[in-house]
Amino acid sequence: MGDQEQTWINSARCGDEDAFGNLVELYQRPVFNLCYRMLGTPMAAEDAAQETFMRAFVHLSSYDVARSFSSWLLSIASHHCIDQLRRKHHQLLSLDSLSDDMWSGEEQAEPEEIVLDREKERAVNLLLQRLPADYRAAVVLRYWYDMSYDEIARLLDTTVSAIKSRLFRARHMLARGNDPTSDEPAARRTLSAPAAGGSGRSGVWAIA
Amino acid sequence: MTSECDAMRETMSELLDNRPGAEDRRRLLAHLEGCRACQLEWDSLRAVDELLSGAAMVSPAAGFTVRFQARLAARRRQRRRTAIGLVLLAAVTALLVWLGVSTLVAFGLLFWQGAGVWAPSLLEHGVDSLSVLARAAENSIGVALVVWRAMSRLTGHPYFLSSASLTLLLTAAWVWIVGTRFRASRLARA
Repeated sequence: MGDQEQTWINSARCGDEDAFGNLVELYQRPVFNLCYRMLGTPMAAEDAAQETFMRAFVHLSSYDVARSFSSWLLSIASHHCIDQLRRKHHQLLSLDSLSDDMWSGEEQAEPEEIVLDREKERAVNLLLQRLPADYRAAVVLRYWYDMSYDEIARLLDTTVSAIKSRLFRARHMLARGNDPTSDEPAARRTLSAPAAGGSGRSGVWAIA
Repeated sequence: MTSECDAMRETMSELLDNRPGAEDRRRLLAHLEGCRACQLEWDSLRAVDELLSGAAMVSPAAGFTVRFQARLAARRRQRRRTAIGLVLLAAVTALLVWLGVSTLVAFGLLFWQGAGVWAPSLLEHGVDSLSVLARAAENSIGVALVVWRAMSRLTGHPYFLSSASLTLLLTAAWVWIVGTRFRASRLARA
């Protein structure tokens, strides 16, 4: 942990909002990305990320300096997102709304590369949406934050063996599709389809 | 699918995380040679792994920190408004309760002292009791003010003690009820 960061944390603890603003600036990306991967839409992610920093600011006194500040933030964000998903379990996300608005800024002339990225992005989101909330958290922390089983377990308040089995089951679900009777691996079908234009879309829909 | 396949599939997940030891790794590779079902599973696991590994971190829209600071400021304003509201609520409630309690106690005193005048009962002399009530209310405001002014001298008086403690109790209860309701409704909206 940098000295600068420690200084900001100490000042923020005394109520210095500007110092806390520096911390927000520093960690907005990892926190936002976690919320985005968990919740699936930029709008929900913005809200959850803002709420995460608000909670961090309010409960800053309970932050244990021995831990890294970023894991503390990610822990708040994961728990908040898991709660959100459980609460809104019945309001299933409309598949079409996924990741559409986040690219709206660069809609005009789309180079092939962006279309490709966009389709991949959509595929990733659709994959993650199929997992239960706590599996999703483990997968996101593993893939985007490169955390060890041990770190993930501590962050989600559970055991290493629970994380191991969540990752194993999550991967199995992702590879197989939701239908337990289907014996044909679904993801391969999706990924071998060209991920651009109309045909790519039908490939993506195949796993939905 | 055999029980060996089951075990192998857990090893596959660990292999993607670079976790298993050399022995497990060797056993998995040997098993994959001879088991078509596991080979298929392994291929699709790897495809998913590749897709997830390749996905970049997504950044929030520009101005995230500024929006956060606006939220903080809004929260501060909200808290100040809530605090002022609670103090006002407590003051107004205390005043009203004090008047009400004084009225009741004054009415009680009057009834007790003037029992001889308007016996046998309130029911038979409805008009009388109304005027008595009016007198009591009028009295109570006077009594309340007098008691308030003579607080230092009256603190030991049962009238003052009962009125004051009842007032405090009712005010605290009311402010607490309204406060918790308010919090609950705000949480529900959030």
